[in-house]
Amino acid sequence: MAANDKPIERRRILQGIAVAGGTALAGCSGGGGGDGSGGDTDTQSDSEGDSGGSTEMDDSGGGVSGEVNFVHISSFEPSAQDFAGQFNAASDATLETQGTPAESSSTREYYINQFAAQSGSFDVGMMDVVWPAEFVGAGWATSVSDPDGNMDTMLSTPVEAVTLDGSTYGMPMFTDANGFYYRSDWLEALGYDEPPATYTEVVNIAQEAKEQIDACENGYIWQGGANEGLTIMWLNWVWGFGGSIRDGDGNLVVNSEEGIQALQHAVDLIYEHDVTPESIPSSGTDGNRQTFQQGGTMFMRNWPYAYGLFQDDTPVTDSFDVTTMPKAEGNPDANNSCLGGWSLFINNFTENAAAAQEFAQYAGTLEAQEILSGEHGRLPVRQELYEDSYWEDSDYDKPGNLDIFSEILQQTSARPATAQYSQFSNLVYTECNRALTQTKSPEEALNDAQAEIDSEINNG
Amino acid sequence: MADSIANVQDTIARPGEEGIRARLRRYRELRLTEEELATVLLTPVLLFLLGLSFYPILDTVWASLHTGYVIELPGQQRAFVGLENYRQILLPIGETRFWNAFGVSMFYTFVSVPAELVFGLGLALLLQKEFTYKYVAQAAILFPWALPTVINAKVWAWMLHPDYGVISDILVRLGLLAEPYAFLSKPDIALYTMTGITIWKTTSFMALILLAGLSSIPDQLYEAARIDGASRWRQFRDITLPLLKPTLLVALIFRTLPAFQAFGLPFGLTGGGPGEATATLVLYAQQAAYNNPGPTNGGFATGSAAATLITLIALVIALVYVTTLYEPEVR
Repeated sequence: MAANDKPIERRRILQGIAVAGGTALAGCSGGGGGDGSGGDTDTQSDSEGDSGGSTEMDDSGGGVSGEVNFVHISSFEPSAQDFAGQFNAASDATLETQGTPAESSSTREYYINQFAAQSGSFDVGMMDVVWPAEFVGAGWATSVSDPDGNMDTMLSTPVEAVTLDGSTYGMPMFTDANGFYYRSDWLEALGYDEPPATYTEVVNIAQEAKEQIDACENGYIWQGGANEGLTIMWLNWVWGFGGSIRDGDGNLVVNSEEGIQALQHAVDLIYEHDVTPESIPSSGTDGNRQTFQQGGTMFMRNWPYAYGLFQDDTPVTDSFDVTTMPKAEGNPDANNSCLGGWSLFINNFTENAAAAQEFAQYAGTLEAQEILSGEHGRLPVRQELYEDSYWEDSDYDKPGNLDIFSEILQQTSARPATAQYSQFSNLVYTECNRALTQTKSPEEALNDAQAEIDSEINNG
Repeated sequence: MADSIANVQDTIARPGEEGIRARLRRYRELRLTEEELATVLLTPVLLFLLGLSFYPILDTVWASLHTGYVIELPGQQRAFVGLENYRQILLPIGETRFWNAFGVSMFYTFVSVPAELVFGLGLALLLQKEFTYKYVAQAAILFPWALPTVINAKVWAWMLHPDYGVISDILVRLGLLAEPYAFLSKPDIALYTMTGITIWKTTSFMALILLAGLSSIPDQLYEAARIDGASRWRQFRDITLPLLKPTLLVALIFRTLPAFQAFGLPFGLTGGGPGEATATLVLYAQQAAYNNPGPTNGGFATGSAAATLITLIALVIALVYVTTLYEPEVR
């Protein structure tokens, strides 16, 4: 459905850009947002004022100079500083960095406020892997060129995620995939050689650990709070049971047999098998990372960043490991790790497009990728960095997480690419969360979610 | 200034027929009639209100009657749809997410505000007494209110954490709980907990306002009552409460409206969960706006419609208070 709209959309956008330059400032004085809190939009005009003076001079030429204002999620701060150092040394333009809250949903809301006012207060931003359909469809992100062919040797899935209608709208920076963290010391103490590969094995080993190991308080922790983490968690299980959330006509379907099975399994982990604590329905990603890091937890599903943090002299530093996501019995080849990751996008309303393009290309270079991986523990998107030989000439040792996560990356699936992804996810995690707190049965919850998805998304 | 106004009124019988020259001279000497002085003094605040309050409100109402972009700019149009956004939010009555949020906000507001009133009045009566370090106590009581709401929410979220939270730990050590309790994972308990936190946080604010009201009641009235042999309860019922009524009105409006517009606490504490058990109206409006803000989906318009409804409900509540509690003769 979205594909048909595109050309019209883009023509309208181009018309918009043609006259947008002079009106960007006027746009910022526009009225309050729709959240009833009035004052929120004030900051917009401030930041516009800051960057306006420096970018105006670039309007005439196509030369690369001036400031590139780069907006990043706050946890990316150290990497952004390193980027600024390298980029400023190599380019005539200078990189200014600005952080947004750590939660990706808050970051998206920041962008949307800027977009609604057609603000050029930032030039380049970090884009979560699920946003391109929305940002491009609405005409907020412009295409990113790749004259040096940096994308040619990138992993295919991150590049596909930013490709719409044959054009690329982002420069992939790093990728992400869910891993299954476990206590290797406890696994050995219980007499197992291998981490669990199936859901049943997970339950059995978690129960044994809780019974036999005094320090073990939690069997298996995962993201159960009413947020994006729960949508991803549920998808992990749906895919693990061999399900899919697109039917033959391309509609989004959540109340399939596997969908209900997946949610029932989650509920059972808490109330039937007693391996997941009852606090999980209000838990979040980083809270779980901290819980696992304290010791006391056998299994945890999380993202690669936890691997890097566990290296820093924590109670689990020498006694944890990570492996591929377990799957349902009889479905060993399921690709049930959810693809994450971030790319750089260029604000359609930027007044410094040439420098923004240059910075986007920099993020795809080997030197930028090497910093992200070697220094900051991210999963690089350039395939070269997964080879042992690459790191022989590097100042860094090959990061320990690359080998296992390159295997996990082979088993990923992507969340549905739709401009209404945020709404879809909100419906899914809200209803799944109701089932996890036993307000509804899994079937009721997913039927209710389906009814809303049908009327709000599939019909649109 | 008062002299000059009197002077002007003496010398100029009919200001309307005054010559332009004379008028300019009078302005230069800053001799203004009462009407002119009022205009000069009120204009800045009126402009302020018009620009920063009424314009955004009207713009939000206007946006709520459209679909598409929230602001019309070149290349981004919107279409007038009348009350369609309201229909989608409100119908079927009682079954949409708006009504769930409405129920949550009503519970949150009309449980917390009366509780704050009772506790706040108690605190204010205690603080009225003279004792050593009274000002230290007053400052200490204000502390929860001074804490930024989102930080307060995060602090409580950690204190309520079943594994690391101090609250479960204390309750278990006291033997009141057999094992740690996940307060924020149970729909009903999470709502009660959130309401309890706001009572804790804003009782002190209520106490402060009521304390100001209490100290404006003349001591002679109590003295006379004591001489007439009135009991402490009679003094409270027939002197304190009636004279406190205007202050109570202010305090109730000041607490009810923010409680009805609660956002920071549910946002930071639970994110509206479990399910939507703690999703207040403003949290709902925010989610509706940002879930689906693209040009073809009109999330901002839905959010604007929700915001308008919240404003209307808040106005109704304020009107009810004013008509039932306002008594012009009691000043």
